[in-house]
Amino acid sequence: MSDNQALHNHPDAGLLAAFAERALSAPERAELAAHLAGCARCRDIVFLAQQAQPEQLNQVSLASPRPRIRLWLTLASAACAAVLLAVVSHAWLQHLARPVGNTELSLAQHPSAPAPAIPVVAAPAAKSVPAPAPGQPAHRAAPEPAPSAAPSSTGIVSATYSSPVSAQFTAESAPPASLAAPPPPEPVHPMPQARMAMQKEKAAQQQVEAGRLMPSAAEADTASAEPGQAPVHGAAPPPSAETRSAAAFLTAPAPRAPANFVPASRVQIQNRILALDAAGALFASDDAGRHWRSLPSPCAGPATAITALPQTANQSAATSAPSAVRLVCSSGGSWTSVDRGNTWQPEAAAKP
Amino acid sequence: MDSSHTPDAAPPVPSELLRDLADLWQQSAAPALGLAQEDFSRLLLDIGRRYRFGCPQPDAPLPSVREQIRFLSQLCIDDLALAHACADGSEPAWERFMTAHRSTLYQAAYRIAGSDAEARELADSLYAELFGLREKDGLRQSPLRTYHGRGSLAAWLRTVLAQRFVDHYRRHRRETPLEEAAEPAAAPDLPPEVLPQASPAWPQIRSIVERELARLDPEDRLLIASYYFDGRTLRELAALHAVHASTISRRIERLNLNLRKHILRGLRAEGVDHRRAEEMMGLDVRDLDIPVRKILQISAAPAFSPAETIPAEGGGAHV
Repeated sequence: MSDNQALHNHPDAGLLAAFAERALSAPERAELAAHLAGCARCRDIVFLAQQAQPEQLNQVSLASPRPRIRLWLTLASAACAAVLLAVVSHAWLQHLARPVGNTELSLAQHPSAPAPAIPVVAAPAAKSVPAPAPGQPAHRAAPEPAPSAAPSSTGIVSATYSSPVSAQFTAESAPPASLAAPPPPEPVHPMPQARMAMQKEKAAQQQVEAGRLMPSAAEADTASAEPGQAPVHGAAPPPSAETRSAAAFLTAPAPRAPANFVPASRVQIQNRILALDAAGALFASDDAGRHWRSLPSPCAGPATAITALPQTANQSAATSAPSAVRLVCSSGGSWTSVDRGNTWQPEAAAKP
Repeated sequence: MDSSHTPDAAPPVPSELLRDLADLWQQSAAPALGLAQEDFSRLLLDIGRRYRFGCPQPDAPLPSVREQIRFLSQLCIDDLALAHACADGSEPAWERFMTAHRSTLYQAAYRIAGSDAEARELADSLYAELFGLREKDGLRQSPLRTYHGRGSLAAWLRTVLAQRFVDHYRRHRRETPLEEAAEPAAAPDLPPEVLPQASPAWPQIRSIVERELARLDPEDRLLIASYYFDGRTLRELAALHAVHASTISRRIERLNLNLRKHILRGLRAEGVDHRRAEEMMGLDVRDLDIPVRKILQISAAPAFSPAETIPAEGGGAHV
């Protein structure tokens, strides 16, 4: 035994080998580590023996830092990403498929509602809505929910210019700006409004680029407006060329009716076709049925029939096309419109 | 009576342990190598008692029978049977040993020695000793008898080779004795007023460093000694600790930060102003006149008790 060994009583080769192979108990390992910390000779032996083992054994411990933990972290990250994606997708789909609130419909459509969503020209005594200015038809309220809570079975969804409308339909079926009601009331969800507006602009831009810009309904309405009758958006000044262009952008043609769209009933008023689908929702087409857009219906529920009213005495007998229509509701009431469905009055209050 | 006495009047062995010893003999290669069950069982018991069944504290009670069984089950019983059968001169054992370990022995010697000639000399000398050419009291003297199955036989052989190489070349090559290497000189480039010895708090500073180093975990002290004094690479340290090199790197960094924090705190507590303390912490510990190497030795646990070291057998097998 060397002097060093006699002085320091070094551990035997078996213990040093067991230390390198981690075959010692915890107390033994701690005791041996303490000796190795102070003994350069034994450290040299341990490291030299470690280096002498085959390369593949040395590389096992260097292959991967805690592969199990890395695998767990990878799986956990993937799981979190999947959950996040699922949540976002679900929220997006929920937003897209969000139905129209019945509460809004009932509040909007009920004739006796203090602040009807449809600013129809109702019996003044019964309404608290300020009467429209003379010569000006009642404004259409903006947040017009579709008559039915669910999108129409025809696929054409109400293109109301307010809330709970699917964004993907809004851009394609938004009413012309000139026909648009005055600034809508406070939307329930401002964000969708902004998104809808952006999509409207984008869709309109695409239409312009495709060269399928249709004559703005605003211009058509202006042309066909009854004398003395200002456009629905009467408070606004006549649209300038720029406004008309913007209106045109915003009034991108409604999506084509699906192939299976068969109006349950229809009536032609001047250059507009008004039709009801099987669900009783009201639609209008200004291009002979090539494109359709939803119109707000005064009925609380689905409408059952739409018919042309007999010509009145003011109309010229030479005009064969009717100018007024009657809409019969499933709830039993009926409404009439003299402006091609833009506004409606209860038939009882309608003037012949 | 459910226990039996071993021939050397050792403490009675519980029957449960006896059954386990019999099972271990049956499972090992001992029967095929001609080792009797009684001899093998006695060997296992001796190993268990030698290492106190994994409980090194001499004043602590022996582990329970279940823990004793677990300790014995973790031994490399196949290698143990082979080594002792070879030490007994069993031809089948030697044939098996030659097949399994001869080439490994020479390859390890080459990796240790670095040259073919030295490797062959190293391996041949050990191989001859392993074969047990000498006898004492009718018993073949072989280093294989000192193998106790705590690690694999291959690891034991590599460690024995490394031990012989280190002892030989530490004796015969230019090697600095351990005591001389423990006192690194202070950096001569440093202005004297910056050196910690210039501070009146120098004795306290040294005690702080000693105290903080002594508080370290033994494996942390080993890490510091290996990395800073031996110049071991992260790869080597990682292979020893069976972790990735990045783990070692982070551990060393954490050790440094904690050490610096505690030493700085101690310096401030000793009245050293913040600026001077920061200057002192900016010095490399190896440039300081602090015998860190010696401190590590002093602060380490006492050296292994003589019972756990193997006395040299026949003047040759200094394992």
